[in-house]
Amino acid sequence: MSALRLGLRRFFFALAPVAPAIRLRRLLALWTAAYVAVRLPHVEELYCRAVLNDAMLYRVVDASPPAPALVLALVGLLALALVSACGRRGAGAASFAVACLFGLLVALEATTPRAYAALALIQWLLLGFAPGPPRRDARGAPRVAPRWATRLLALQFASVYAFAGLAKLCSPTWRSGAAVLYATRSPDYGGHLLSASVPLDEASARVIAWLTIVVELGVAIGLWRPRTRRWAMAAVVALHLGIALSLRISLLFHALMLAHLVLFTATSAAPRREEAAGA
Amino acid sequence: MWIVGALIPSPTPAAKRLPWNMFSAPRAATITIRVEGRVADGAWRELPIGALFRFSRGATGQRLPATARALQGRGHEAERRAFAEWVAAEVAAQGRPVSEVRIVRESAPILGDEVRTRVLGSYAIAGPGAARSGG
Repeated sequence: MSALRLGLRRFFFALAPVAPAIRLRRLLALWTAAYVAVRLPHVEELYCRAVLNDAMLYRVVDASPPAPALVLALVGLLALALVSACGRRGAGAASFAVACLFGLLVALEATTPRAYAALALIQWLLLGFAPGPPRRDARGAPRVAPRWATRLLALQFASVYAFAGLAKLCSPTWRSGAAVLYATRSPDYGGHLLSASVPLDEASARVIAWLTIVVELGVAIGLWRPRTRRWAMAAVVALHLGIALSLRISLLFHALMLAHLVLFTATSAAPRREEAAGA
Repeated sequence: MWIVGALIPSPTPAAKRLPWNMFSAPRAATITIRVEGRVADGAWRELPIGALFRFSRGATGQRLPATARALQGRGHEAERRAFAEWVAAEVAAQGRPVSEVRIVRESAPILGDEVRTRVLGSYAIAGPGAARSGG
């Protein structure tokens, strides 16, 4: 029991460099700006119309869609919060502000939000607890801090692959390979680069489906072991490259997932020694 | 219960929109929404809703009507009427008035040929002023 407690304590509270969380915060700020930027030309359609409005907010609040000026004001506040989140002071509080403002914007969106927007929202909330700059201390050594917030960010990221793999494993459509055929032959998602030029039969679709399941589950586990981490990171890149080359899935999704790899980048030897001492 | 349902790795409605269940249940059919209007000579003409909904989801060409809840299952009569009246007002403003609007949903199986077409509703349009109340 004490070994488990010690292990958990080390897993969450050992000292680790703050740089990965700072890098992720900056990448996520760029990502959030891109997410909003592609919606800006469609403000009236996406946020201000009453017709065909599936906004999550109106499922819990009885209200009318806002005027475009209000949405633009919300976007302006979000931009300020994003800049603050990347600054040297108050990065944690600014991350909470981004989570609130981005969450409100996503909740106001007339289309059902993409799942990756929910992931970004969760990560912004967790980044509120993560340390901010500077990356180095007064002696010039990498600054370290208890790593629990960074661990929660990484767990959330890895859980996407774990649950996606398990959900596919539970699905007869995936186990038979039909899901791959549906996706690659769909007029909406398929017929894109590789899926347009390489027609799949049932056997190869089944192989790809099982390969996807194995890779997703393998990534979820492999990211946590130093020996397999590099392979798992390479598998993440290969998985997203494969999807991007064969399906019309938003590049924002791939960018968000790949940005998380900074959480698993190598750390210097000095913090490792401190980490060992802290454990 | 919602949280428990969302955490279970299955394509349940609760888990569907959460990040840990991405792409677990791809659609087996492609949905297309057409809106048709009855013009002055009594004929039905397809109305250009693509020009009214320009935002495409992700990297697909899917516009908002293809995924709107009001145009998927049963019911949603008031929302469909509001949508029909709003489209009528928009096309009337472009100089193409219609006296009636019908919403058609086409479901084309990805691994088959049989396209199922269903009229979701047909709505008489009283006038441009009344039509604007939907939007």
